Amino acid sequence: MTAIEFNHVSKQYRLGLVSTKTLSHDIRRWWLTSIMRQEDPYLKIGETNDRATKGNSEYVWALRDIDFKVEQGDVVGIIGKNGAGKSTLLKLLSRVTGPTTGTIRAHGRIGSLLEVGTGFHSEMTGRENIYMNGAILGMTKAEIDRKLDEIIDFSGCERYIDTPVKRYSSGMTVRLGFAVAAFLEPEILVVDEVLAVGDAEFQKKAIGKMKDVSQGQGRTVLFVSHNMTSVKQLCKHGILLENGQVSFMGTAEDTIGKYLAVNLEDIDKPLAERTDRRGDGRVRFTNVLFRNAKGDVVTEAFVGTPLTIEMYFDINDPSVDLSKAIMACGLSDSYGMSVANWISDEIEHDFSNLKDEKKIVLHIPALNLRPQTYNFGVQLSIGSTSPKDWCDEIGPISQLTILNDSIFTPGVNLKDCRGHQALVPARYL
Amino acid sequence: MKQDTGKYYTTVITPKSYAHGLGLKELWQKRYLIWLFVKRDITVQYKQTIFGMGWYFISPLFTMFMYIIVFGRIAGIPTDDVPQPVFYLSGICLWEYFSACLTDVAGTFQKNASLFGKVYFPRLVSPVSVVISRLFRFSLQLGTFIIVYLFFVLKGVHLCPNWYLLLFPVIILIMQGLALGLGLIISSLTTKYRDLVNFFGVFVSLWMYATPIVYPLSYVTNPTLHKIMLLNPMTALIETFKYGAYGAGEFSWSALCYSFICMLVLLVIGIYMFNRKQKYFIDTI
Repeated sequence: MTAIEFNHVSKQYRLGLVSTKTLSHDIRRWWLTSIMRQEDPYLKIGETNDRATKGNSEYVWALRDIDFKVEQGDVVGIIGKNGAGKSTLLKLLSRVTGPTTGTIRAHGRIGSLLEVGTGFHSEMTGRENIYMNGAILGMTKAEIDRKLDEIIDFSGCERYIDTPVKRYSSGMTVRLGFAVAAFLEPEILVVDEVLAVGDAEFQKKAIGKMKDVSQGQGRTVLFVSHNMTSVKQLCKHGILLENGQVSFMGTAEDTIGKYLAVNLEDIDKPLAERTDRRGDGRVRFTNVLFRNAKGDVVTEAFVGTPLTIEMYFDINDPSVDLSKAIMACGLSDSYGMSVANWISDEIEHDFSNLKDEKKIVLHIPALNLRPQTYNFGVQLSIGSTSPKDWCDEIGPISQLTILNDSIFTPGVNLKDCRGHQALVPARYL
Repeated sequence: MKQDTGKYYTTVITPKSYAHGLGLKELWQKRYLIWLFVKRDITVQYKQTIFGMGWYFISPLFTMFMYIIVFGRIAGIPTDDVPQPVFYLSGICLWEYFSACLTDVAGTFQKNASLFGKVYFPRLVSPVSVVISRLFRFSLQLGTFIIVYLFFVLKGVHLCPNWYLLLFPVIILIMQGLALGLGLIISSLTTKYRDLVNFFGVFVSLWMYATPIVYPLSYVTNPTLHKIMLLNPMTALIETFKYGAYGAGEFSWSALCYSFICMLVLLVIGIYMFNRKQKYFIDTI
């Protein structure tokens, strides 16, 4: 039984500002489609949405010719890089916006969760907000009445339930929001990365609830996430989006594999030529080198040994104030989970003579990470680490393989093990 | 969205906007949400203001004093032999409610952009609830009017209220419909062409002077002008209220019917335009 069917669905966005051109395009479009009964001329143009290359047209296809079916009771993870069209796809399905062409058909009520706590008002109490949020998400009053106790219980905010939400901590607000969403009972549930909020304990609870919903109650779930671990845990199937098109469909595991392979495709390119980067480009990284204790350039290092990372860059905007630079670099595992990060606002350092050197050097005294291959990525921002201040941000630049060795007991290598990456030297007394 | 109940798929999402109907059935199904929005608006207004509640009572009085000085004393415009405070307040209360509704409804898309961007519900819920929740403030201001009115009655001024006062709910309903219809038209136009908002602000303030608020309709003696005045659907509403409340002004069933028909036409056009826009507005905001 098919629950959701996408039939050649496309979504076009117009970039840039609304100008007099908007009006003239609108008039021309109206003239051709309504009076002359022709096809919309602006649907023929437009480019695939490749964020990195500068396009020539102001029309861009966020999604192009999406065609797939989801069986009832299936849990499908939608994965892809930023800007691949994942969120647009969910927006279409949750009817926040309409498709440009094509049809989406669904069997059953669609509940969408693009955000937790939609419609919350800080002046209203937790209880009032449960009703508000529930009704906005499509629950009836009777349904909310029936589930109210469970919702309050799940949120763990019982004590504060009659207090205005403005007195809540941000964590509590999120828990309350998720609790309402967790008790939505649509046949089709559309979820956008909401699990990435709250503390670890709550995330566990949330994932558990998602599992119940999908496995126990046989509902269809579409789940968008950057976190490959939770996609792998939750989903049976996966859809990989690339530049607004479906590039792969299969089991969750295969799709994740494809996604990770795509992610690594660019790794062989010289860093200066990479285009899959974000940030305003005031500074661009050109090269990254790993050096071992002897000073040799390496791509592999033994566990527990020191490593020096040299990051070279070019300055494209001479006015950039590098004394306020915040450097962040880190290693992530093959599922995209961040394992270790070194962010310069936590590690005291003076970047005042950065302008002359055009090089940042990080020294790691001991690589206490479990032996496997890690991806290395960098990000440089000025002033703050919010995306608008990013100068350059680039995903996997190169890989570092940590080789097995003895770290706990001399002469005894580490065993193959998954699940925890940090190795802190210690011994039982 | 269409509901194809007979077929397998219950939800069909196509590029087309509402093919038929105004979506009123969907709106009715969401009446609980409308009620919650109204409740929220009122609680928030109530909670955030201690002095503010008093302000709702007092603000029409300030406007009233201004009108007494400018239009009553300086310009010397008559008030149909009704005490000036009563005359001005009646117009101010009604007009303030109408223009507040109009402005709020016109700003629906801008004000709810973040909410509309996250979840779907019939968008008409928002403007409809605004028109209802504005009644709260209106009733407080109406209270001010009643107090002033009773004050003059106790002073012995003969104000002669009559049975036409029973038309008050009808007047309010027509006013709500007008504000909703016109506001929806404006909100649909301003999603894409933002500078229309400026034009609209000027339009509303000028409209008040084309409505007998600061002068009685009887004061317009030029027959052509008088006819033009009656083309304004708000004219008959204000005049009917004044006629019912204190026996001054002009009342005619045909003028009231005209307002009602204007309201229906604007409302249908407004809802139609709004429904066409609601599906894609989030892309243009």
